[in-house]
Amino acid sequence: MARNFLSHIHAGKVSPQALKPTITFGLGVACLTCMAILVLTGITLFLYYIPDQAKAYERILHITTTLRFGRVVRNLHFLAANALIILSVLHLARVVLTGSYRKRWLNWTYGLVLLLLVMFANFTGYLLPWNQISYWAVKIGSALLEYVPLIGLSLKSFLLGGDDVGHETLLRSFVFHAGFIPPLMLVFVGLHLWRVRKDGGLAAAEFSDGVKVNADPWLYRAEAGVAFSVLAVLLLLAFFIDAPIYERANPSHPPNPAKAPWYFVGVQEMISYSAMLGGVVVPGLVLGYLLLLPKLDQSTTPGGKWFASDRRVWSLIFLAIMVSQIVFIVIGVWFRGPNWQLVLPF
Amino acid sequence: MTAAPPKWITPFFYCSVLAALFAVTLVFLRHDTDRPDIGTHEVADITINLDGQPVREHCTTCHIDGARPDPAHLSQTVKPHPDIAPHRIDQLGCTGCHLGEGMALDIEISHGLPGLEARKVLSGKEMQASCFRRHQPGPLPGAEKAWKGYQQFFAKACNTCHAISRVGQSGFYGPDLSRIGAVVGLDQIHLAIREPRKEPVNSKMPRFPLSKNHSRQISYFLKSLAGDSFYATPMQMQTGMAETTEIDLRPQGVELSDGESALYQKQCLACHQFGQVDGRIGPDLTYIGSQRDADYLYAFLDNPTRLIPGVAMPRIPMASAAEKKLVQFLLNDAVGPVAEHTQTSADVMTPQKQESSSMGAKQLYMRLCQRCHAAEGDGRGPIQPNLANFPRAFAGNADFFRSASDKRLQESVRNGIPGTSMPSYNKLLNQQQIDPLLNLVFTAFINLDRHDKAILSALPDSPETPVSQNRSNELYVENCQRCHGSFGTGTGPEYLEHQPRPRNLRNKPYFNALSDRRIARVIHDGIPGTAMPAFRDHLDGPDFWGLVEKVREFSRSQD
Repeated sequence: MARNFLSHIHAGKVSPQALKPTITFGLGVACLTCMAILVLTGITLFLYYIPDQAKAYERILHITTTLRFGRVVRNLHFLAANALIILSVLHLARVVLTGSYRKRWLNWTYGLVLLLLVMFANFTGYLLPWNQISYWAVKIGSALLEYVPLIGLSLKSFLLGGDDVGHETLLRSFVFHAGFIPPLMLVFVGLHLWRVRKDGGLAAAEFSDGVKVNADPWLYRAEAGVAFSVLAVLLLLAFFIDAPIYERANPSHPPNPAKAPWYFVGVQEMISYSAMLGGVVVPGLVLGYLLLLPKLDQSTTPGGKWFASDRRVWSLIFLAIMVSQIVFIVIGVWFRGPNWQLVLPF
Repeated sequence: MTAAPPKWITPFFYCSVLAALFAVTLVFLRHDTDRPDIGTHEVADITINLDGQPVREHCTTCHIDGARPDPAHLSQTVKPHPDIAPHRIDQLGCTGCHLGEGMALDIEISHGLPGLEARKVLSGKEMQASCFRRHQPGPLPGAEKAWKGYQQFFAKACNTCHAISRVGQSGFYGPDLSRIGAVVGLDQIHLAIREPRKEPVNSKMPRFPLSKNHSRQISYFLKSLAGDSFYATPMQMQTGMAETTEIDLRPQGVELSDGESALYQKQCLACHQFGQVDGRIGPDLTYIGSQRDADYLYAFLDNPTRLIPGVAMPRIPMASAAEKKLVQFLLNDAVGPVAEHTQTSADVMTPQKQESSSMGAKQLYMRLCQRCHAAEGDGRGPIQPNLANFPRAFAGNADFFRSASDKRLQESVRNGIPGTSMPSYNKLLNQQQIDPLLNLVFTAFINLDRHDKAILSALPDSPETPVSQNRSNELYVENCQRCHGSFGTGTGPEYLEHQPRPRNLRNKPYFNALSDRRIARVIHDGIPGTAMPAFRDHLDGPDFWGLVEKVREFSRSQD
């Protein structure tokens, strides 16, 4: 039955070009693996977690220190979540730099929706341990929303369930994180995969002779190889990197500096230079750019070719955005001390 | 047509499967290496009823029956829990008194993570920081230090600024400490008392002259403020109707008039000096009856910040009858020592005893001036950190005194400086005393001939048509804002870099007493010995007067 399912979502034959590791680096499958790990570990955590201000933190301690496999499961959930963000962005970069979005605007949009859902899931999950860092990160993160024009404030109070991070926020975050986003993501992952098939498989430059390789078993093996590798790497990392545990949330004592979750620190850093530019204009332009890229790009080189010369402008814009965000995040995470002053990280 | 499959796929697939199998095996073999080694024990999981809430704890996994485990072999105990009758461990559990994180089975986390240390485990002497969570503060065996801390809390007038829910009349000037024990650790509280301005640096809390022991005692008491108490209902707590132990702050065995006993009971002397008693935080009140008039004293008690903006003294709630007695005491009864003091000084000042006149001036300086201006004359007197305005530095400040006229200096001594803590000495000192005092300041600290005055450059004339308000706002933002702040409060982004701090431009009494020309002069020439620069080369005539008007606008505005 599994094979039957696989045969449904894959083409029967794929071009050898599409199997070349340098075309995709298996990033899409890696993301999918992370999601699967997240669902499995998430269900386990679901059994023990209670979204209640008084109990949430103790429950996390209980899961991490007392339960058998608790620490590994939580570490794995934490690592897979962060890996998913990084891998999704890399996947996005691959699609942009190979121009694979060409003539696939709909699937590109599904992908962007998935990226936003991944970030939203991560952000809501961040609060659940109800410790100092998560409480204040969500406080900062939700304050960043206020910069969204017109709907910012309403959006913030919708997410927080009030004006401030509190009991309602915890409950809401839990519901979004564990009840609402996963099925939504499942739907969009389904759509995303279906569109790949519908759009003619992987966007890889065709061989002129049209010679193809059987998907069964070669493509399945390649994909399973990526999935097992990701699993192995995350499991091994889970031994060395612990999901952080900080002190209980203390609404009256902010850490100084209070930082947003790392993937939003870039925005926080930009806002520290200019609220209007960093909080509204730049994120707006980036989102607009990403959304409209398949429409803006009029190049004729087929998708699947890295750094095609007629797409160079769009690739460079994308690289500029990505590199600047990485730089901002690095500055914000490691080089900002008390009162957001520049400091050396050691 | 079918092509040959890529060769790398199969090896890659099998390698990844092997890697995943290896990782999974590792997880199964090594997943519990981080857990403390508790031998063959099972994890203890008890639920106790604390504050009506079920609280779960794993503590007794290692602390069997509350005993201290051997650090090398957690399954063996080295020291049993002391007898705590009438308390019972099975009722209180562990975290009820010791704090810590009962749900963690990890040596570090269960004993409280570093940081604010709100849940850091208490042990040994620190245990008394838990007693008044449940018991009414009082002389309780085993909690002697916490009880002393309670007394110190009132003796040092902490409650005049900080609210604690169990006391009816308490201040709202500083942070509410009603739950401080639940949010920060014992050591953090102790540090905050000993180094109040370490974090945050702009804190106004004075550093009280407390021994390490005393501050530790206060922190024991404060750590016990962790929420609702059990000896009073929340309603009683909220309304201050809870039966709290009153502390008599009056000295024992001394007959005091109503007014004088108010000085003790209203905690004035926790900060101020009166005669021999000295709180070493605020100004000397011994001669206050001769330095300030009745209206001033009433108005000041009513709202200290109106007369001295930025003053550290909170409003002390007082019944009007008690206030009247206190003020009358300060005005009438307390002037005794003042009269004596002036008389002896006058004796010294007879022409025959010119030689000893400077000696008298020295005594006067040490008695009246050094508390703020410092014995070294550098303005950093013992109470300077608690004053709203930096006392004028004499030592090393010759440029300032060269530019200030002698008349102005004499007037400052005679009439005081409105809006600051500098009182009037008109009643207290006569001209024969003020002159030697000024001479002393000039010879001992300033190192300048008193008549050596700088010739000041001419001020630009006030223009017939003043600059527009927009223009003066622009000038302010460009030149003044970074120190004096957007709203003129003297707390611009750079204000902490300067000592003396930038002037609060909303100080109404201070600026009302200044002429426009004085303000213009300051902007024109700057103030030597402070961060205020001269703008004479940067601004045009009309701009000066635009800024003068801007300053006036701040000090006129209602706050």
